[in-house]
Amino acid sequence: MNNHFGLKSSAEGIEVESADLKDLLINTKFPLWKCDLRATPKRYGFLKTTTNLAAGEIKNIFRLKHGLGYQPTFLVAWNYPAGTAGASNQTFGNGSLQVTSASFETITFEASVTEQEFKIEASNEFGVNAYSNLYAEFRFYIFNEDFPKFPTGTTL
Amino acid sequence: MGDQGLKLTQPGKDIGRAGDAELLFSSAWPTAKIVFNGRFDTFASDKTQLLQHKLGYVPAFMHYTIDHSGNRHDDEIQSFREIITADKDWIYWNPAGGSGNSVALKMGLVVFDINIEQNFTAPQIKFGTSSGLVNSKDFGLKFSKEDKDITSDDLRDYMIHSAARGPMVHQVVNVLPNDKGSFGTTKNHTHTHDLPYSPMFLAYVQTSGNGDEYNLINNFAGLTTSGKNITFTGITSGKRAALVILKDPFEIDDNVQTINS
Repeated sequence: MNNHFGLKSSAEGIEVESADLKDLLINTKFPLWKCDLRATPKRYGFLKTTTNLAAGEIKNIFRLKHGLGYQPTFLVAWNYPAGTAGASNQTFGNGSLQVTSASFETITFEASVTEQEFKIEASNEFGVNAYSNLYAEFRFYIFNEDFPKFPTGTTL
Repeated sequence: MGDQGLKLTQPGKDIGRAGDAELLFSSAWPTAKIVFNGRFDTFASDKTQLLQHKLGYVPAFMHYTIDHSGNRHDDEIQSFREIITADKDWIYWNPAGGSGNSVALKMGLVVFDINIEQNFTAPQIKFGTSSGLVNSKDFGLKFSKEDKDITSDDLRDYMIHSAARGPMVHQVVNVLPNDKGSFGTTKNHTHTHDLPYSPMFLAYVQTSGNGDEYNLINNFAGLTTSGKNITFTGITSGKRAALVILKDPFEIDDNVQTINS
């Protein structure tokens, strides 16, 4: 990056000219993680889902055509309230959600992206019992940043 | 923050009344900036060095599993399940106990310019609600990447763009809850945040056998929320835990969908 090009703002009380990168609150050396607020359909939202799953059933409970034409980065946070059927190791998390039933069967909620869509899949793939009223909340963002390929051992 | 600084609201929000969660960015706190975003497709066995970030601190990161099973999810990028760890120099693929044999490794990774070992708390300006965004086409701020056209329609070509929202950092909390515990003992730790809403956050923990490396936890280690409390369970003696709390309410009233299936 050209040393004379960019925008930066330091934390209060820190001289911007001599500040280390870690002390800069706004710094155009690195891009922001960006979710396009103009997109239709919206690429962010809050989902309140109630799912019934038969033994062995897999289904998409949410699908969104993101319109980007490539696989975008995304952020999914979930809440599986205490007292809902089954139990999660934690009531809040990011990434995939795993629920363990009283029969020790694992039900999963998995978010994923393809070049066309963002989706959340509920799975009772290996279960022998049916489950009903599995309530989970999901907060999601789909960002414009993608996943260019790099070799392992890449150095920045 | 007094009367000095730079802030930009989301489209349609009043700059004089917007809550901090309704801003696009503010010079009073950091916004999640991307140091690296990419994917690795290779064969690997046991612990593998994925990325040498050279930041000199342990950064916040998100990782993703890329399915390579050849089934209905083949090459989809999924919310994470694999174990990734980070220290001050490297990001590692770090399967528990090692894989033993060479396996196909496909992993997505995003690394942020956020030091999870440096405690930080942002001010809170005002409290508002995140709803009813208005698409304003003739107002805003954009800053393209070097060598990219400022008229580009691809947001990947921009460092900052006021049509885009990204996570903002409210607080970084790094704790050593069990520094005096005897070897192998564990302890819980509860952090109480001060936001008026339940925020999104990332949680990291050092685990036995991985030295000073942190992994992003989800499902596989105890983490519960209750009111304003976020509790880690089972932190091993001598190991640290970190939270990156975002100025992002988990529950919003914009694009809310109720799904029964």
